[in-house]
Amino acid sequence: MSTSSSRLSDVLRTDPTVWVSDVSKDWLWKAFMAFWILFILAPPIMLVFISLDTASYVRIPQGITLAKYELMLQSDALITAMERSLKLAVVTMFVAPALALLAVLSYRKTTYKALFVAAMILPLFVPGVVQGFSLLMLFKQIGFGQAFVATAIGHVIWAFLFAFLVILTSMSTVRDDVLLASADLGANEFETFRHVIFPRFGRASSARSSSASCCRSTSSRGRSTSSSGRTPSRRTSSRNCRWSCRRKCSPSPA
Amino acid sequence: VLRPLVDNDRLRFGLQVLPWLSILGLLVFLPLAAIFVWSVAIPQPFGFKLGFTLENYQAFFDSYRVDTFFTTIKEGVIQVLLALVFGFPIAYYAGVLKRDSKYTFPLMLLFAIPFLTSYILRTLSWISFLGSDGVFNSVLLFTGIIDQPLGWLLYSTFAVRLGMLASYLPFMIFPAWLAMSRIDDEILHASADLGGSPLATIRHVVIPLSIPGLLIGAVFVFVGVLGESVVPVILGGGNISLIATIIDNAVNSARLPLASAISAVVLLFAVLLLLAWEYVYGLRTVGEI
Repeated sequence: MSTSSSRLSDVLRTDPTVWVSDVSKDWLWKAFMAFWILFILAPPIMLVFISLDTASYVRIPQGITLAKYELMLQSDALITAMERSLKLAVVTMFVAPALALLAVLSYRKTTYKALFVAAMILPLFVPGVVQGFSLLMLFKQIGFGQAFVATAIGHVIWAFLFAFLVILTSMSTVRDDVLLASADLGANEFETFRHVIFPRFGRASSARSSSASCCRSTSSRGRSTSSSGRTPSRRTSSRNCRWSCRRKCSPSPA
Repeated sequence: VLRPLVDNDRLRFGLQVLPWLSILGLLVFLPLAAIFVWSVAIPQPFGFKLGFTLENYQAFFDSYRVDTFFTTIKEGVIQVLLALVFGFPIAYYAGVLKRDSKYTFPLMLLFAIPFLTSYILRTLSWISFLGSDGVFNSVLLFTGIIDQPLGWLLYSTFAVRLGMLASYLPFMIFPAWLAMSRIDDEILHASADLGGSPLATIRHVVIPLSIPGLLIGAVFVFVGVLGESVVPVILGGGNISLIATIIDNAVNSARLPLASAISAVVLLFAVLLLLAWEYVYGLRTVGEI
């Protein structure tokens, strides 16, 4: 008994990564990654097939028709909503990363870093509907009636916080001693940014934060619903999806 | 023209701070502070009157809504754990094992593709997988593993958890990948040279150095669940409700003081979480991944 338990503990102490050969490990890793990529991609891929299905409800697609696309092109409300979503995405894509970059540059200079990060992260903890609702109330109180600008503000604020985190983490590769060296060599802050900071983090980071802002803007629903009000003329494409889903697909009242 | 800007540090700092701080202050913190004022307002039919009453908080704490709040926290913790268990190996594969491969970046981009489609429609398409005549049931019936469709796959807690995992897993993967890909090669080699097995290297090198990334991922996932109102409605079928749905319903039914009271509780909970983070790990580590 004691011998078998000692053998068992010997096995348990062994690193499990040596139990399988390198070739098997490689295949196991590939299978693992393939499974999760499939898991993540299956819903959006299925959407393509559902859009071509003949049924007007969600099921395993059994036929092919372009009727829904024709219907979509005939719907002025949907086309307008898509145009509005695209405009919102473009505005958010440029404004949010620009604001976030300014915030990160000032973060590096401040001594109250914990407070700074807390102020940036706290709004992320607030559910979208709460933030949108509070903005809507504020706009109502001050009599602000520009629906597009109100929605754009809601999206920019939301994306700005994520863009801040993306740029902040990317900026941490730029070490302080490199910046000091640049200053010692006579460069001012603009030149340091242009020749030292931007080449190190700029392209990849700005692309990531811009695309993250753009994606958040096109797929976000809570903020556009809440911050601009609920009339059909103010819908974006994601709200149109939600609206038709509520009518057709949900088994429970939304 | 730019000379004063180049010479004057304080002016430059002020111009860097002014745009985002004014937006954040006026359009985020002011409305959020106003939530506390509205939360004690006196409810009226289709509106409210400014005043002081704890009736709205009472309507939250003395009803099923407080249970929903605890359910939301529980589901948030479950999602964080699931995302850690499944997201960590994915990030490890990309950020450590295949960090030099030219295929790693395109591979990881695949995890970002769903963000280009509508969140609601992505969630909706799970019905075609989980429904009684969906993909999973059809395959299980075809292979003879089951005799009749599994009813609990859709409109259940399982469906909601699966839907949320699909939505929030990338939020864990990307920060963790970023943190791991920045661990120096020399540190990993030093661990191996000192006789550390792959598992020992993960335990003593990779995990400690990637904690900031994992922490940010955990926050993203948890906060996402805290504000989640789509998945429970579409995939839960009324079997599971989260706090954002309750807030949404209160806003829709024009019970704004109640919505504010619930939001205020969520906000206070968020502040507590941030304080705990600062106490345990330090918030400034976010910028040091």
